[in-house]
Amino acid sequence: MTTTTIEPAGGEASAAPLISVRDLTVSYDVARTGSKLIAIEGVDLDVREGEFVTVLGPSGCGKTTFMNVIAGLVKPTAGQVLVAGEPVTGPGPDRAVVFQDYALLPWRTVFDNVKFGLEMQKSLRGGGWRDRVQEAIELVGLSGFEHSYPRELSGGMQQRVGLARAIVAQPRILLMDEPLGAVDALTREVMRAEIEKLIAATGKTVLFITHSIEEAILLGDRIVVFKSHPGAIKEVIETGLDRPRSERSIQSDPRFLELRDHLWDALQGEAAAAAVSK
Amino acid sequence: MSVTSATGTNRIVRPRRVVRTGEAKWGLLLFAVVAGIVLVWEAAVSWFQLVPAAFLPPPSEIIVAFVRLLGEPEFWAAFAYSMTNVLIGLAMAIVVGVVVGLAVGWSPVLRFTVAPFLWLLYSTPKVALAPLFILVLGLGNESKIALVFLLAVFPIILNTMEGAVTVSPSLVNAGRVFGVNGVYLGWKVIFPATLPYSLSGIQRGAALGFTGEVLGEFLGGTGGLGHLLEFAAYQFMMAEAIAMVIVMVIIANLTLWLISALRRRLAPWYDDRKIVGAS
Amino acid sequence: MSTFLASGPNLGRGGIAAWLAGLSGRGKALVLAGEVVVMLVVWELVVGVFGWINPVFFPPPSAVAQGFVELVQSGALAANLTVSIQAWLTGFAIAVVIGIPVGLLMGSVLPVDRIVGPIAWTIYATPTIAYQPLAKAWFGFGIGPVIFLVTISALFPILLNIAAGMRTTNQSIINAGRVYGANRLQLYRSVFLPSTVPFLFAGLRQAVVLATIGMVVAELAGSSSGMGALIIRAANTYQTDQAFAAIAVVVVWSVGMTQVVTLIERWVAPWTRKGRR
Repeated sequence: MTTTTIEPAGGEASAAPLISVRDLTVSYDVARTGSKLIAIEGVDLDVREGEFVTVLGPSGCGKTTFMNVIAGLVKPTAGQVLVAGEPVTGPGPDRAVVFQDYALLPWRTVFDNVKFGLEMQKSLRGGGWRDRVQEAIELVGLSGFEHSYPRELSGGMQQRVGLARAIVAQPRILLMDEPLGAVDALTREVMRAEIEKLIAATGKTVLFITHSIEEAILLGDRIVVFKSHPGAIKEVIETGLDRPRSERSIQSDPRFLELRDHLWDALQGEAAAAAVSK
Repeated sequence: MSVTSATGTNRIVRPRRVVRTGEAKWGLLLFAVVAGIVLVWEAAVSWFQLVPAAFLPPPSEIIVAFVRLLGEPEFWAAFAYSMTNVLIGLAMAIVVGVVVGLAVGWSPVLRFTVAPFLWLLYSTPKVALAPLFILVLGLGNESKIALVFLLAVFPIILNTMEGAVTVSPSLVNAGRVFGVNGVYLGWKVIFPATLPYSLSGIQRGAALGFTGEVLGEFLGGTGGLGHLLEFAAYQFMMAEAIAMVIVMVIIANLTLWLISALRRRLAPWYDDRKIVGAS
Repeated sequence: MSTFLASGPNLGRGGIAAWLAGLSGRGKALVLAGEVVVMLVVWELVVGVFGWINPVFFPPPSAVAQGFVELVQSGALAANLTVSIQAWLTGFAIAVVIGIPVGLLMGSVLPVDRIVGPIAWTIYATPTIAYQPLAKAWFGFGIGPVIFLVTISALFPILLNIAAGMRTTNQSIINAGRVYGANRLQLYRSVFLPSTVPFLFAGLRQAVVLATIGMVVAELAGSSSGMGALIIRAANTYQTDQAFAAIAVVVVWSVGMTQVVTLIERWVAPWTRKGRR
């Protein structure tokens, strides 16, 4: 089921969406007051195979919860998520997650961290896995650091390990939760370009969460804008920009500027509302 | 990320009790289990006589002994004797410990020259010095107070020192930007910032000081709770001895709780979980 | 520790402070060694040469060294040290054998944590010396009460640290495990247990110090052999030089066992070593 994932976007599966979110609501019980806290409410979204969707919203708008439901880490209170037509009941090998805080195992070297996903999925039979792990490490540019521990690496390098761990498991869908949120600004720009290249090469379907407007435009085929209180989709925008997108040339693209102004206005209203309600 | 404390180890902090509806259930369960243990103990000793009562008296006998103890003026005299020594020794340890700790934490030169010795002395089992204290200061209060002081002072010094080092330079700079300086800076910025650290040192110091007092009473003299306990155990009055141990458990836990409450009161901003262990 | 020495709130340093801060690791060690020598010489001069303090109460280093030689030659050191080490190791081993599984159980089963936790904390908060007379009454005057006190001193730091370690496992690492399809057993093996290892060693280091205190207390207050008994006998016969020598041996044991724990940690858990970046 996971072996046929490396194929160009827009293949045979273009008719039915790969991810289909139907009227999704997640709420938590607040034990102290006995009331309910609604994290996200009534979310509908379809994602096609090979599509790169960025999810943009202010902090606390439930975008991480949204991603966690798709990953199978959080159970929906109402509604459902279908992946390739099957309802999501838990984590599965067709989805991999890149975490904001890297979530590397501090007691494992880079090589063993990248191996982790395969190991948990019990895919370590046969000799091929070593080459696959090595290939993934090279792909993210960490050759020579195989035997380093995470604490010996910078934040950017640690996230490269997280990325390698995700792609080596060969998922159909890559879920990225603000992967560059904890990385410094310069590294961030470099890695943004690398991620774009990497995804273009592997043709994976990506859900990328961010609170950076530029990041959302530069990476996404479509941008899903979230609003908060309760978290819900405010609008969905097709970027309509050509790939590959070089940062320099795109900065003067009128479409980029138009999108940026539009998203800026949309988010500013949201941020102000969030500030008041707090 | 690991936070290494002055003790050189990763401290564990007792989880704070959270008042929630779900928690009451656990309290009840705990009560039930403890009651069950007491019941089985009572049954095993006094009903089925699986264990000789002279060796391990049943809970009912211990409760009787405990209540009788609380009614005896002799007990309260011993209590006053021990607590006076502990309080005097601890008060001295707090004054010396906080002053030395702040000075060493503040001055890089002192930190370099003195701190390693303080660490060494901290990790030394100083209880071994107890016989020498009695030799030098005699069997009276002085040797016990000195022992309490010696055992209590090092955790206070090292925790205060850690606090003074941890006072972030930006905090001090922020004070300076607003023209705060010298003693006023110390009082308004450094003291409140190190207070919770000192208090956790005092918490540890109080427990060790109590050890010092009881050990001093074991080794000589004729007063105090430790002496009473030792005497009861020596006479093989096990119910009385166990009742005395329960008294000490109560004193120790009450002291701990009081200092925790004080810390929450004086430094509510201080997060206990900040000093929970590693990774 | 070097970062500890280099940081701090006092920003305006100059003179000696600046010089000290600029020293290399080896230079710092040399300065410290020099300080130790100076301390010993001053101590020797004040007590031994000028006699400002009664040497019976506070013997000079030379007398302590001599006391050590006497203890070795009379065989008293070997005999008592053997007893102490035997009691210490037995008690510590019992504490480890009980503490690790119970700590793991507390960490993985919530009801166990909620019941054993409060009881363990209550006992841990009480100085172990309170239990000593009971131990003596129950186990007699031999090695029994010493083992009991060592066990009860070492048990709770191990147990409570492990439980805390299991409970504070980083949630996003657990999520990473779940995302890649780890089952419950795999999660314990690959996530919970390794992330508890640093807590285990922190607990063991704490336990070494407390176990040594427990051992000394038990031997001081009613044992006919062991280092504590040796110290109290020497003090009562005014041979304080021997008492100091015996105390030094106990200190070396405590520091040495702490080092052993640290060495084992480096070997078992190399990732916990401070970062190089």
